[in-house]
Amino acid sequence: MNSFLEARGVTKSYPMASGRLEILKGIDLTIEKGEAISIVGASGAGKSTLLHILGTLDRPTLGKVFHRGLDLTKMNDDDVAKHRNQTMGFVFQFHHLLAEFSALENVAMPLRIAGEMPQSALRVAEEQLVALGLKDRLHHRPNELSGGEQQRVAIARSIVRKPEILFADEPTGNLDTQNAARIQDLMFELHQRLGLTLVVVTHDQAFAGRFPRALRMRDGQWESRNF
Amino acid sequence: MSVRLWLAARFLAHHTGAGGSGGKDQPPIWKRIGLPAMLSIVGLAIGVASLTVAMAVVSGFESTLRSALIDVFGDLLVVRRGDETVTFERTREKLKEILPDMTGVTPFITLEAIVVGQGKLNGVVIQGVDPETVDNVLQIRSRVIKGKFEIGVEGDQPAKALVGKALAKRFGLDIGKTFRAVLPKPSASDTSAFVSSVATFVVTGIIDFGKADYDERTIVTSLHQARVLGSIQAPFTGLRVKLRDSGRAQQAAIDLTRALGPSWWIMDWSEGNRNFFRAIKYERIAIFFVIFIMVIAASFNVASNIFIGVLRRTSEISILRALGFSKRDVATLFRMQGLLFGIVGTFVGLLFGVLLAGLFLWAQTALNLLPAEVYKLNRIGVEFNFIDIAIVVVAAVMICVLASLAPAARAAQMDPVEGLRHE
Repeated sequence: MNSFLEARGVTKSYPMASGRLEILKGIDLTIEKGEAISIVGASGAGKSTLLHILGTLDRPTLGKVFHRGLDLTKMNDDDVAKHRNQTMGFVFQFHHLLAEFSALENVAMPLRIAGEMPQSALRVAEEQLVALGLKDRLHHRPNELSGGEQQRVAIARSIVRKPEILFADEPTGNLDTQNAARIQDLMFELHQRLGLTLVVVTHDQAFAGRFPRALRMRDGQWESRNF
Repeated sequence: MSVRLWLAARFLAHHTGAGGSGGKDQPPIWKRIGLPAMLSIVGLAIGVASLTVAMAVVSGFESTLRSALIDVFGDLLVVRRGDETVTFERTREKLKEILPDMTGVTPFITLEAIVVGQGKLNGVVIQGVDPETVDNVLQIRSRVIKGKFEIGVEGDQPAKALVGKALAKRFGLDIGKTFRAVLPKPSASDTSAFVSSVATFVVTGIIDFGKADYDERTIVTSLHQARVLGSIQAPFTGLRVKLRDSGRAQQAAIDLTRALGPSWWIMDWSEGNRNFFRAIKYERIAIFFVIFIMVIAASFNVASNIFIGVLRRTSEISILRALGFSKRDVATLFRMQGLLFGIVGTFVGLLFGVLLAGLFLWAQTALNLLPAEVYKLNRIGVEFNFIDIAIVVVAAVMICVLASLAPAARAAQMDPVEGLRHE
């Protein structure tokens, strides 16, 4: 039986003057549907690169990534983009919201990209923002929001298409303790409520420790599968 | 609106990346677009405006010349060689049979003469026209700029005549003034000699024919008076014909020549000017391509601006890729920016072109931009031709889309991970 999300022998390397720089060295990983995992490791361990490859934002030099049995590394760019829009959501350390657009427009963006009509996309986006307690911030631009609010808008955007997997790369890395705790709680709540598969890369040992499954990377390889 | 076009428009409206805080605090549009992008649009607009004006002036020149010719010549000239018994009515019926699209016909007599006065001599052509039918064919009445269209003789008074405005100026003629013209006629007794008769005219009107050589040497009088002055037995020397469509004149002349035979001499309005009109046609193409180089140069500016936009938007491109944009979508977004640059620049250019054309019309009269003695036309109209405008718009917009291809391809090839790493 196929795994929900699987990486097989994923290697990522870049040509350098002195040979090849290997970021990932034959990573294997299997994630089941609805699972929540964290990946920790020092800077440069390759955890973000792995997350990007699992999320189809990057392609491995060697190895394969499967999602529901589909070989994502074999798909063409148009199909991968469509698959990403339909099934994956992303939250980054820096909110990465589009500066010229309101919170509402930012959240509606994945729906617009999927081809939804503007009015219906904005309606769904509004529901999402209201659900995350941002009712009074709908028409604010990112620079008018606090760090915590920006990250909540980014989370609203990541789940507005009801994805199967939510990838988060240091989602609390840029927040104060109080806001970081709120975002962590929110992510676990969404995981429970929506049945999302959650893959989080973090430096925060305490946050990583809250996951049923925590993985540690070092120099592009697994250091430990649980800690 | 497609999401790609929507994003392209929003990114263009915030080309500098100055997002502002929305609402009242939002910087004005020109600040958000930024000076380099505005300059690109202005450069493109200047190119489009030049093209628009050049095309409009060439069309106007052609049209002014054409209407000047047709107004005073008619569409066709029909002359019977050597038969003095033919009547106007009979000929008119015959022509109507051959040319069902004929809308008017008028007889005329042409005489050559010399005007004498103020110590000067000037060769002129006296046009005898039929006051009853002339308006069906020629637009002389509407070209009278002083006095009125009044021809004929009353008792012993001198014959009434209208004169071209340059001729009037040369001899100091004005309404009510008289002048004399000498008409040479072949001598009845000696075929190698001629005798001259002198005719006196009183000026009733001054005409602006719109063409300098007509203005310098044309006198219009009645058909009857011309017959008397020239001692002509025939009721007319020729006929001028008006067709429903002047563009058909050349074919109508061929049809008439074929039907009437060699004893008739037929000429259409464009004959004698055909090479000139052909030259205008070729010049129009040459002018278009020469000025279009300006638009091409401006499009390089557009390309470099879109390039700057691509580099400035690394983060946004990555975000959009993460949200489901494909490489193709990213490329389309920046091609749409080229399209929008093209549309805005072309629209501004067209408006500017119309303004310049108005300025050109004003300058012609105010600054005597086109001395009639030099250019043979004392005023060139400006004509905005739909096809010309459509070609200018399509070409300018297309060149901007082409200019955006390279930056769009660059944007599509950007690694989405790059823009997500750093804030």
